[in-house]
Amino acid sequence: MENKHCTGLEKAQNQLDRESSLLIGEVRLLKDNLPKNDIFEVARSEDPEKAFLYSLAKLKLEVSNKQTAASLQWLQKFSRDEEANKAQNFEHLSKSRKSYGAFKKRLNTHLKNSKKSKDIDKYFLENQYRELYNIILNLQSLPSFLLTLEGFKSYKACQIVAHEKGQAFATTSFCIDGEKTSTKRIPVEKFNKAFQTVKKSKSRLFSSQSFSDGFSEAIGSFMAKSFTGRKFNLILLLGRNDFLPPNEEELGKFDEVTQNLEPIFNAILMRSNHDDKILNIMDLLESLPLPLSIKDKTDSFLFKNQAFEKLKDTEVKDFRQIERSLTGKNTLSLFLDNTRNEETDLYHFYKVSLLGELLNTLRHELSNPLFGISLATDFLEGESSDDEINETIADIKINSNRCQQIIKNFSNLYEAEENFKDFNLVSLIEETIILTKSETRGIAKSIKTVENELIIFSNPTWISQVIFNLIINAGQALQEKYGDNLRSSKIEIILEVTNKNVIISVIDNGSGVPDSAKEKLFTPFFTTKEKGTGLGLSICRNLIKKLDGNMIYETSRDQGSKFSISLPFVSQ
Amino acid sequence: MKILIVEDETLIARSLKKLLERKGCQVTWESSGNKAIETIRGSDFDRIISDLMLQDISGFDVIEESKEKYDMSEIGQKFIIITAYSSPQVLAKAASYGCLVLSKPFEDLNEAIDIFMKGKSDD
Repeated sequence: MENKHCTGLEKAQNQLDRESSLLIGEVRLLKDNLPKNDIFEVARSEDPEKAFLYSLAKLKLEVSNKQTAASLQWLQKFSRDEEANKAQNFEHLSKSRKSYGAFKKRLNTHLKNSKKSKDIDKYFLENQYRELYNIILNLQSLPSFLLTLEGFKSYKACQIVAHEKGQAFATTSFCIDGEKTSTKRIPVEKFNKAFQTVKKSKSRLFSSQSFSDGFSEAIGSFMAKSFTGRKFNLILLLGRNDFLPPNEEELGKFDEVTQNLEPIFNAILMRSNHDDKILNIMDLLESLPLPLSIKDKTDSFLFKNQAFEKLKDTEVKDFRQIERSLTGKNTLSLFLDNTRNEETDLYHFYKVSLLGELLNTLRHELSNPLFGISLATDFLEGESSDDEINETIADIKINSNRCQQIIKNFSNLYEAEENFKDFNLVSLIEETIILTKSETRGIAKSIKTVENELIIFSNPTWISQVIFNLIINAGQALQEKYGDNLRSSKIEIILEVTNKNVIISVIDNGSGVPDSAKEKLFTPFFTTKEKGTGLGLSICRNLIKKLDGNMIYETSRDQGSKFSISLPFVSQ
Repeated sequence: MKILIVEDETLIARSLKKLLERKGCQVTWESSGNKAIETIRGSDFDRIISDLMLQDISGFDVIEESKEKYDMSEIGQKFIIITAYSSPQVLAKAASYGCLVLSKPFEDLNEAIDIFMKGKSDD
């Protein structure tokens, strides 16, 4: 048991390490008695034990990585309709659980159907299947495992590049000489290019020159194969990390083994994806502002979230407790505060997203009449011989076009969330500054940049939201320090470019972050402001993490604060 | 040249009508999709310029209803969709009818007027 416990913890730790670069994003809780647009932030749990406890609870819930919001409606149902949603709501979820047995069955069917599988046991051992399925939780450890397979023992370097369809990044994992695997992300365009190269090639033979810079991490010559899965595309690269090309026999072996790897890859990828989903749910439960616990059939706790931990026994009676049966005879309890429903943390607003919705509505409503005005001026142009009238008409036209342009720029800033593209970072920052105009009235704002055009490939919406937040924060800090006399206050935005990174710094000359707040600065729901939600900075940092960047800050009482975002300098 | 404009935004429709009339076109304007369908049944037009999001039905519905009168190649020739929301889905659907799509606001008014008058003949 002790042993098993350790493995569980290690697994959880692995997952969390790998996952720390990902983020779940905003979650909409569609609760009836709260405004529809309430959004709260989900932070990642850093405690592996909780991850382990969670996996024990065997809560299997289907949550799409993309549409976390919709999938969470069960929580809404859960709190609203006590009787109508019995355990069967969760029943179908348990069906999705995959067991080794089912996996083995599928694998055997595949091997039977596969013509070349007669000698497969030469390369795969029965216990390796089991090992493969039980131990490997994620892609990161897959390359090192593959190198231990009978068929691949003579190779030294193995790289797996996987792309989940619809994602902006592919994940590449590399193992050499049994050393610890390195994992990183690459833009999907780069992946697609390599994928096509591998797919189209008949020889399976490649060298590092076959791909664009830095795609292959092995040196010399190697073999590669592409796999097309239902949800994933995948490239496998295998070599000895030298320049001797593999011989015919080795190529044959490679074909044979890789042909039979496909169902295994699929299973691992599905599982990896599946575990992500579970972790997402766990994180959601963990940071849910409502107290929540999961007990097993013996009534001992499997999971308590932070809010539950904070609940004192004496207070429990003020809460309405709702219970639901989960699979495995576990019980999930949710506590709703009867007295302060309006004040629960769920009530927090994510202003930026509201702004996005507002801008979209404005665009829809104003775009047509503005276009009408512009067409009408086109018609009137040159109709009159009076210069003054013509001038006025021209003014109307210029200004209606300007309105249209402003609305277009702003709503472009807040278009679909998963929007990765090439864009000019400098003009994005300029537009974002305009958005903050009314909140930072009277404060001098400037951008310092070497280039006037800096094209990067990233998510403009997120970056704009983060910069928007940082500027608003800076503005509030300045108003706190200077009051109405904002003359000497300033916000400076500095844009720097290094080889690999773009660094955006938002600097104010306010009174800095108080010592007492430093530790919790990025914690969700922590705030020093009277009307703050405490979500701003934690959302910012999570968005930046999601973009493979990071966020740091420097602060001093007399000089103010500097928040810097560093983003990978990826350009197409 | 006889042109029908189907557009519920009065200012856009009126201005467009006047601009086209200035070019010598005979322009009819309908502000609702259902009325436009009636009008199309009743008389012949060289060009039908229709907004996509009308108050009652969609511009594509107008095209669909016109199928009883015109064959597919005529539809592609006659219909031009103007819309503020030219998503890939909209473009794909328009392409399935073979008709042109112009985004509102027009980037170049003269070019737009040209397209309205010449239709797809330049393709």
